[in-house]
Amino acid sequence: MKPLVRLSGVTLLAAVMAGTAYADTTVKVLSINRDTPAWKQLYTDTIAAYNAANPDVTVEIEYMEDEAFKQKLPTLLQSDAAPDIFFSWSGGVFYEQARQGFLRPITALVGDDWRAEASAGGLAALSYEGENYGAPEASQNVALWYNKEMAAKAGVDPTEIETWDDFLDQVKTAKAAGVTPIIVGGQDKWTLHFYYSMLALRVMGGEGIFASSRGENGGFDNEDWVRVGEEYLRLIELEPFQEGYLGVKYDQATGLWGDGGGVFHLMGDWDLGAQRAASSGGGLSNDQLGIIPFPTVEGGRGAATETFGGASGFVVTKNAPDEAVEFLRYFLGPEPQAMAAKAGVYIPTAPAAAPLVDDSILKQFAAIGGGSTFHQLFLDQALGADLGGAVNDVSAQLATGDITPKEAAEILEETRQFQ
Amino acid sequence: MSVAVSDKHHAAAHDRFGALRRFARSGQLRLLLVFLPPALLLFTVFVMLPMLNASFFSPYKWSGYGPAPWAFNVDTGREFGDWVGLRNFRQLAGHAAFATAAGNTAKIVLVSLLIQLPLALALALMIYQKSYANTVFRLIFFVPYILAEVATGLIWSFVFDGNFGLSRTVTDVLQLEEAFFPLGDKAWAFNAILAVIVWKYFGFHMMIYIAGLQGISRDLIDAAVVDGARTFDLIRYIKIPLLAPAIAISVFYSVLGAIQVFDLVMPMTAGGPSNSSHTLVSYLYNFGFIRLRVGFGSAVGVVLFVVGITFAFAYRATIQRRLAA
Repeated sequence: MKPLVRLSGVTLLAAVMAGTAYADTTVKVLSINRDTPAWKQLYTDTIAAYNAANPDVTVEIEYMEDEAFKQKLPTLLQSDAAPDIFFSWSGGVFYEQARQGFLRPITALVGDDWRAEASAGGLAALSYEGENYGAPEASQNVALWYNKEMAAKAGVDPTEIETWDDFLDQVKTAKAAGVTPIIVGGQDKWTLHFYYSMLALRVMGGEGIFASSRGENGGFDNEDWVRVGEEYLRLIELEPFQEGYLGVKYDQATGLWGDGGGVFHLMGDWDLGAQRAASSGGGLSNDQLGIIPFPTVEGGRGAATETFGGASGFVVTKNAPDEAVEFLRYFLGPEPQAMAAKAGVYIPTAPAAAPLVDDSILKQFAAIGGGSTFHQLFLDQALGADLGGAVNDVSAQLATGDITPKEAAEILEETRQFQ
Repeated sequence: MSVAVSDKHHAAAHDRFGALRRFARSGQLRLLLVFLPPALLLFTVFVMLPMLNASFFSPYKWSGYGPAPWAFNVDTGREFGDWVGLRNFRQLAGHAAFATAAGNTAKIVLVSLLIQLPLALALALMIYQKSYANTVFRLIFFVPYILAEVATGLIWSFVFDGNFGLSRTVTDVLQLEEAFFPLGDKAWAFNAILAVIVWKYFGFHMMIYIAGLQGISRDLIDAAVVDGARTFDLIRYIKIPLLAPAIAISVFYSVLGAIQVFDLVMPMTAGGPSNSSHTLVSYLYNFGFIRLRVGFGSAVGVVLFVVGITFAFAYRATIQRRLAA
């Protein structure tokens, strides 16, 4: 009797062990909070569909509030509780994670099929030194918004703007008509960095910025960057912003914009919802709004089709199984992205999904993104936290008249050399 | 001779044991064993170790990823951080924003000592006596201190907002042409913060003074009055001299608090416009942690620590010792 008991015990143990070997591979996903119910629902549905179709894989998703996510991630990535896939804004923090070996290079697994169905720019944003680490989800593009009623009041037609000079002329006209030309939340320096960075993009093109970041052509201390500062100062000298703009953060500024405070607002597509949420009167409707691409700069090497904005997606951690990579492809693949586009959840990056966007404004943004010949990531992210922070600093310092364009270029180059 | 020495030794040892035994018997030893380890542990883990860590991190270029800059990263085959020696400190010394931050911190110290404390003292002298009205005033003056720093910062950022805030109301009432945006104006931003600091903390110091004033013997004052002392004589020759220990403590807290100002700055100006209103701590946070430069941030932390500890020890060794004597 006794040996039998022991035997059955061993059998049981063996059975259990075998069971775990067969059983599900669990793929843990960590996302930031998806505040809109539609976005969260999209994740839930996508995961449920995947789990149903793949009985040997169980995908679990967890959400974390943005700030908590940022703070906990460094520790989490070093622990056994690290997720297999997690959300990434790409840029400097992502580069550091990849550099320190916390992420899994998945280049070999990203075949031609996957490359065909995903956005090339998005994949590039989530790669580091030639290796892919993740896949793109949404993209954000920055464009020049205008308020049609305010433009009429100021006597300008923003659709005629092609060059930076055209834009400056309209700013002058608006100013003369007693209308606030531009709304900006200058306390958040990144809102000012949009002007400085987009001018850089138009003056030297994405390639020029990249060359500077690698220390070529004198790094940031060259004629192009001085020109960027000068063009930026031409705008600043018109005093185009609402009063007290340096004491206002983006949220308040966009509320002011939504309440019809000015003619122009240089901001990303997310501002459509943000201005409505932050304004006191419900914000501007699609009919009241228009967008145009950022104007070109005369003699500049950057084309009007070079876009500027963000790229977010999900990346894979170093110990993640292959199943995680397979799931990633499905998770951010054309099917869920098409659903996102149709439901107006976000502007998708997948080429097949972008045309499905329904909202009249977001559609224009999707078109800008779709026609992009080069997508420049926000400079305060693309250049890393330190140099990117310096770009924000000089954008504000130029606005307050603390430094000259030449000094701005020197500060950037000095910061680059310290990296 | 040698016998005498050993006897002396013996006696000393005996004494020491006796003292120890008496100490143990009095129950103090048990008290010490129960209460000291947790406190010591907490202090070590949450105060001493981070301080030591900061000083160890300061000569590295390190993003904060990995357990320590000198730890070996098996995935990359090198350490998490790079040794840069004194470079972080050199960079700090050459950074204009750091100089501004240090200057601003010095301004907070000055304003605390020259405006906040005299104001607190004046109010304390007016309302220290026990009465119903005084209690109400004390409560009102103390309320700002109770408010959370971040909430205070937010409230004041609304007050100073020239579009919708109190600043706008003032503009309208005075029928000024241009609205006033102190937080968006380099010349005013930090002064606005200074005003809020005075407003927020004077109540705390006032309470210290009130406690001190209430401890002054009534007899002394009565005697002085009999001798013909008038109100200002009482203050000048009786109250303030007797309040010296309380003032010494309040100066101590005031200076150390000034060095640490952070949570008011972030919601009000976040250090802007163009880095003109940073304090040492907000500088540390923005240029250290936000920019993934933990080594550099640690270097700022070391500077902050040295300033704080130098002041604390110097103050204790001079002014507070003189007062205690």
